[in-house]
Amino acid sequence: MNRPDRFTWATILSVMVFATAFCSRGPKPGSPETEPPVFDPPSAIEEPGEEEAGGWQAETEVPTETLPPTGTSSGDAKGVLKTIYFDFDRYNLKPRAIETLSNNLSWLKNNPDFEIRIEGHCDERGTDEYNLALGDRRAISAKEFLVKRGISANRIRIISFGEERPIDSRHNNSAWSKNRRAEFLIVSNLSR
Amino acid sequence: MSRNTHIPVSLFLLAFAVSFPERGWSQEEDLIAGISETGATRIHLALPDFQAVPRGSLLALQAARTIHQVLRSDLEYSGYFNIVNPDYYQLVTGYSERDPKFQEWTAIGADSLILGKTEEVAEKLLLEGRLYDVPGKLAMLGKRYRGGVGSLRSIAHKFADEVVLQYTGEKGVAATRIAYVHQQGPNKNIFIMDYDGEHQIQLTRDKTLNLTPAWSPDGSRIAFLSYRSRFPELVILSQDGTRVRAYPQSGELNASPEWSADGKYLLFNSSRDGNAEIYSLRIADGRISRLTHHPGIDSSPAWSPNGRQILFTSDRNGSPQIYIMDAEGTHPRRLTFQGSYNDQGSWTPRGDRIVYTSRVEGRFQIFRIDLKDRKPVPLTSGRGNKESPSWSPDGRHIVYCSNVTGRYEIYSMTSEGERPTRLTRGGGNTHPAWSR
Repeated sequence: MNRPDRFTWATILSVMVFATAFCSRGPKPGSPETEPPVFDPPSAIEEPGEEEAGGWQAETEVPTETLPPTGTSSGDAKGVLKTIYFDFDRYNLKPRAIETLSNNLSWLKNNPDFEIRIEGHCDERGTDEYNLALGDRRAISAKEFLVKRGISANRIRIISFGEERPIDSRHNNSAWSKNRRAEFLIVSNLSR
Repeated sequence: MSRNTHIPVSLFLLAFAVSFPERGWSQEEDLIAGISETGATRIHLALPDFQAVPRGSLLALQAARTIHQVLRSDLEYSGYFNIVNPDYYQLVTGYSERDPKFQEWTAIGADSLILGKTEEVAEKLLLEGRLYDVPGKLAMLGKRYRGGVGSLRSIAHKFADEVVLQYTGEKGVAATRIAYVHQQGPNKNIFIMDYDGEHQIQLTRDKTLNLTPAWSPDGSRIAFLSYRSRFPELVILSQDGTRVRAYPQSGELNASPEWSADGKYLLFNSSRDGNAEIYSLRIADGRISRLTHHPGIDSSPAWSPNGRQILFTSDRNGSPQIYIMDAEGTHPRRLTFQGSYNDQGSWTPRGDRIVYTSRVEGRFQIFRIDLKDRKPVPLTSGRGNKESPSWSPDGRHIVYCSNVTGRYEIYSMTSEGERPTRLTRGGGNTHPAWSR
């Protein structure tokens, strides 16, 4: 048997199944061989409705505070806390990052009234989902370093932006190495 | 060749089904398998132009054309049908729904015939669609729909799904939707569209980030990650536009939500205990269970369709790889061994296959693993990244995003990686999720 033949038979048989179901529900014309199938669709009419997207409503616009642009911080201490950088797919602290973190640590010790936010970022080469976790882990690495050396965990919040907020949006090694980073932003001064 | 030996069994089972119709449905699975496998055996469908009444009604004529065209592309997309060359239709003359002229349709090679009629009634449109089995000389399905010009596509989708149901026992996917992320400047918002890329609707309107949408199983809610309150939070958006926080959160990362099949739980990854771990959340009362305990990154969780197992990504052996664990978080075992970066595992609705994103020569490609042999099969190759695969509810198609044109767009392809079709334009479209 070639394929179409085989398939035709299967189709006929499947239709017999349907036919059996049809016939058992009510009076129907006799053998389909002798009489053409005069059949009307069920009288029920379906109305999918006019609205697009199955009735999904858009949210109304709400006033949302936009996040401050990354890489800047407010107040007197602007720019005193330096960014650290990571290797591709890594979240361990490199010697250079530890040096920078140590300077950030001294500033935090000398300015106990300030709270900070550490933002973890990735280059674009990972998946967006994994990069959220990786950015988070980078911020955690920096936070752990500071907390182990005496900074209260309450003064530090972390946030991951994954690959969503690149410093350099080009697609090359130089851009990627700038984007794999953790930034330190001063968010409040408790003495004020 | 293995299918040949299969057929007599199917015939026997079907004969059995005919004599005992109430028990027949489960026995019919053999036939369904015969149709669906790689689409090699397709139904030859004749789909002549739809009739428009009354004559001269422009509205009815346009509706007839639109519905016919959408129905045709839905049925071709399903992979179950080959449309008989319309040039041959003129050989069949004088047919009507009362007298379809089965023998003449048989002569041009049709197994199946759809006749449709649109009618303008009081500024509304009525569609009557009929499906016939040609060699069996039988009417299989008749449906009536009413709507305005705005609902013609959804009427066609609904009828297409009914036609597929008649042949497979399972509804088609033409009435399903895809949620995705669209970038607008530095901001990202959640959008939805029909499965064919039409009717794109913006759901969120934030000047911030909204990421990783996931549909509830009944399609009435979407969970995603929102930065609206300055920190990444899991939120649930309902159909009517109301948004709720999934549970009280304190600012750590809470990402990658995935619904359980019963809609009662969300899987997600969170650093609430100081490191990225997998958690499940009971939505009704916010009760949280921690499922992984490892100092590395654990992320991208996904439930198996029966809820007994969970896929996730972990770097516990040095690079991101996909693992399977029991639903309670026990017995984690590694699934992927090929490549240095595998993520975004997604379980087919039938439970036997997994698709995921794998980095090959610096680019992301979509791979599939059959859980029986665990051999990775590449579904995409070549230029650009392909990411975020998500299965259609019938497991026959995969939606994903790619920057192959230079900008990120949403595409769909068959589960074999064939017929990639672009669904969006304009760039900045990522992270598609197919509704159940």
